[in-house]
Amino acid sequence: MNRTLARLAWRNLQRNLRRSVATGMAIAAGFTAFMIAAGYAFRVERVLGAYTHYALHVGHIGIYKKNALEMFGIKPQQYSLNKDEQSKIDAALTGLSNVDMSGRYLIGQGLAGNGCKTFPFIATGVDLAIESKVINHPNLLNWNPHLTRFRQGDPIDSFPEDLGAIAISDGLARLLGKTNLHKDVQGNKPVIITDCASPDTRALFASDANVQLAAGTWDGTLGALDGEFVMRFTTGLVETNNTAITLPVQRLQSLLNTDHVMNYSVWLKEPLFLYQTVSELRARLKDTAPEVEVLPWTDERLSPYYSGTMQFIYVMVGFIGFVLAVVVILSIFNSATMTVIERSLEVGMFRSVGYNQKIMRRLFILEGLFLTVASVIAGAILGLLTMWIINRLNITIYPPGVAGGITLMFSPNAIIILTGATIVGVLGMLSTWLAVTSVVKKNIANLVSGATR
Amino acid sequence: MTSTETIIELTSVKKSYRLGETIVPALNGVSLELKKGEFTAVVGASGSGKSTLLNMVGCIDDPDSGSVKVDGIEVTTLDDDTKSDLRNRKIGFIFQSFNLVPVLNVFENVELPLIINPEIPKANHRERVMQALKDVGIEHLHRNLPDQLSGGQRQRVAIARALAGNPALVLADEPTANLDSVNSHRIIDLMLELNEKRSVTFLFSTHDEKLMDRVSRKILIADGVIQGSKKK
Repeated sequence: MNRTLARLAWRNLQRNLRRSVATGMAIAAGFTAFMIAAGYAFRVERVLGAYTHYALHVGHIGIYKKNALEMFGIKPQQYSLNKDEQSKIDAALTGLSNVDMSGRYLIGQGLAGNGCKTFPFIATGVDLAIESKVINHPNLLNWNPHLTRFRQGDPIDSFPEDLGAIAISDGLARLLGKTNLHKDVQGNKPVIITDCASPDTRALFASDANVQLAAGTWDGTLGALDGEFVMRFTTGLVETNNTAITLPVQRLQSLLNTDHVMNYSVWLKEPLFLYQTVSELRARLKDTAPEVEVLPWTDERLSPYYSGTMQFIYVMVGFIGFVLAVVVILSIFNSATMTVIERSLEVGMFRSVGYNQKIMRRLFILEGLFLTVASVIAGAILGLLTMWIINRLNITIYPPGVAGGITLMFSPNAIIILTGATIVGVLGMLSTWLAVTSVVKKNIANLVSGATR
Repeated sequence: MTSTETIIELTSVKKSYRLGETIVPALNGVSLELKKGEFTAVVGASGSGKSTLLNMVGCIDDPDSGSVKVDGIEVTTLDDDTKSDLRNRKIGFIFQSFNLVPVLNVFENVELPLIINPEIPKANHRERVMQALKDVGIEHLHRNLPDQLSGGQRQRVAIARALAGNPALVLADEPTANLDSVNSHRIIDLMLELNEKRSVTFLFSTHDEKLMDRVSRKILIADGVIQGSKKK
């Protein structure tokens, strides 16, 4: 019976081809828009996720002193992890099967100088043992190719410790006049600038990779050290691209005269088990380090840029999804209502020869389902084609706050497409059900006589 | 071919319709008994209650009061699904405007009642349908779509559809109303032949004098009341 009903439903769709095509096109266009929006959202989510995990060194899990995310800038000594807490965290991390790597991080600010001028910097002290792995992680390189486009030089961990290697962001390096890296000026004689107003000064800055860093230490004195400019990078954000420096955590500790770190970042082998690992870590640290908090990277305080951007994008996709749902419901409802009214004589005949209400509903629902499925397939093909064309065009866009612009790319995701298609299919069937259920319940005598039309 | 077995029994059936504020009585205490194999016409003016009577017998409308029995089963107390099942197994319908499904060919239209009848296995459908089409003389048209047929041929398809499930009773509401006189004669001949050959009980409403003259029993109805019943 089901095969016959399906055959009949499919042929019925062709009875009023113009209406079916018009309804189908409305659904297909809506689904295309949804797919493109979802493809963009998925892309942004991946780009920002990888950026947050690796470029910002947030990892999948952050371990901080309680309230450090709000208070570290004001009272760094009090809201950082001391030696004892660091050893307890190291012990807690040992043997956690889902942990891929972990590192100690410290943030500090001060002034960077070139012998004539100084500029404010915000330095990230990184764990040299894993730095190369973090900044060259396949996830970061795959989703954020624009970050590596501006990267020059070698990672700081590839130089001897006594060199004092530091990486400087593109904007700050330009401000300091440091156009050449250590490898470019190796062998040059040390530069002494005697006249900062001299026209040769810029060339002197460029011929020297040395940068002086000065900062207020945590105990209230002034700390200073030399850094050798070995790597140029971009943070990807205008806001930080003129101030960022990366150096070994021990060097920053030495500049700030402390043995504390701000946090531990932990990367997982299987991020799907994020919350399970967070719970496990919390349990391990509960008694040994009660003043420490373990946060998943999805915590807004830990990844404000990711959270804020994604919230906006999800609202946008949600709105498009809502519009699509309304289009589907109204189009199918309208089409099914007109169809069922036009065919009330036929419905009467079917009922007379013994088709019950359930079978009649099934017949019309199959029609709605076929129409929806055909429309979704058409919409999906159109959406995939549109995304493929845009991806091939390599269009660079300049969103506010993003340094250097990003390439407009869409990443269609099978799970999102299938979920969207399933929802549209269910909505299509539901709308048909709503439209036909009152008609198939009508008095059969009235249906066959045409009294209900 | 009339037997003594009762196939239809209506007792004091009343039915009225609401037309705006007015209540219009359509059947006013109708009682009727039909034997198996009868070829009966319900005759009356427009609005006399002919169609309503057929609707009651065909279980496609419910009486306000009274009893309707089809093949001994009281149908007024049955739920919708059971009534659908009863119609499928025991009653065939022929409509004035044929009511064929335009996207299905002749074979598929005739097969429609069989598809939902669990007592008839799928393997037997072809034989049943082709036999019904042969009985009405259009087996060669089984692949045609309804819009490729004449009015008379379409009505033959409708008759074949009514007969395919071997029902005990066939109801026809003005079966010749949309046909010319030549086709009307052919359809009447065909129904009579089937009545004799298959012993199917026919009950139909008609205005057609030609049809009235050839029935074995004529029931006269006026103002929702049976005025009389004449047997040949």
